[in-house]
Amino acid sequence: MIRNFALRILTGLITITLSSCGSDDTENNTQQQMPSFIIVGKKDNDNGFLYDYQRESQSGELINLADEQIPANFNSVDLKEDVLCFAAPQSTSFKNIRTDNVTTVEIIFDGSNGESAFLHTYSSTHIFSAYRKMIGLMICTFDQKIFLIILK
Amino acid sequence: MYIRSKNIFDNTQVDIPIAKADRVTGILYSQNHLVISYFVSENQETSYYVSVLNTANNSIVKTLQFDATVQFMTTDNTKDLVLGYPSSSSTMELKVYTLNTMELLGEYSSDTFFTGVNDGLFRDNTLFYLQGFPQPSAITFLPSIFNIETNTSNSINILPAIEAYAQNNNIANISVINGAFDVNNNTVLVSANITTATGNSSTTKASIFLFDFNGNMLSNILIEEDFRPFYIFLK
Repeated sequence: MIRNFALRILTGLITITLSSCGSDDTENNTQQQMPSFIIVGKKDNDNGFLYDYQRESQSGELINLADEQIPANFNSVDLKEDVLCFAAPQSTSFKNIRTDNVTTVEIIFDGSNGESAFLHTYSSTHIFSAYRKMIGLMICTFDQKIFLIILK
Repeated sequence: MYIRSKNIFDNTQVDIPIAKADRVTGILYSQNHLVISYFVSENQETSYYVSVLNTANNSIVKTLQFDATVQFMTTDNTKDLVLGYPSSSSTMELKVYTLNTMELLGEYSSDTFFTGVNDGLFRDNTLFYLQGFPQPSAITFLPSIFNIETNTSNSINILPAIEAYAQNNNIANISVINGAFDVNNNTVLVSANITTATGNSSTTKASIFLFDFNGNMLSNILIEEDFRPFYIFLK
């Protein structure tokens, strides 16, 4: 599916130059093809971008994450089970769960009921959060917003 | 402390009680198992634990107690789990478990310190990790390989190949940013920003380099944009 939304984003297309190189100090130094990979980074005034490289086509595309409603202030990114997850601090405390069954799932942990969600991990189907009761303390100390891109 | 498991497709959720905890220090998910490190402070004493939850049936596989905070957790993404905690100011203990039963497979001491969750890759008694260096240094990190049985660490010296590439391509500066191991092919990907200078102006582009474990540069990709490549994931 990442290929589908990648194709939608014409402004994110770039040109790349492929080259092979190597030193000549070892016989084992054979030219080797790049594996398929994803790189997440920032450009243009700190906007989030994703570079998706396919070994089969030996080509890559740069995708603007803002077009996928992923904010630029993400502070952690991980890939598990073909799901790319972004977590970003949330400035206000509210709950709004939206499920886009095509590419993106957005979940906001709100720290309601006096609890604090302060760590999480995820699979392709579930998000796991560790919660600790904050007895007598109703202030949410760790609001996290999770964004997922389903890769397959 | 409890774990909230939220289904991201139908938005249902279930809360699973784990144990009394004052703070969770790490959480790792692999192969339907959730590994949680945490500590409890009572009567001026602190106890450190790791609990493993089978997320297929929401049952606790095992809870283990440790002498210090488990500050390093990684898996080989198949069956084994590595937990690391400091045993002294100069030594770290590494314990290897079978993830689905938490049977202890081996205990090792290391004078190399590892921290973080999933920051290393474990395969065949070997940790693949990025060895950072205090700045200013010629490079921020070197990809490194640590054998837990022999307590030996070998860094992959990618500096000569990077310097040769810069010299051959008239590049003023190469800033190495991150790395990721492809252990199936005995290679490592390294992301960087490269800067070329023309007159009074300079241009910065992103580049991805592929190295073998001898530090030879096998290939590279140049991204014709001012893109800062922070996180690398092999697909």
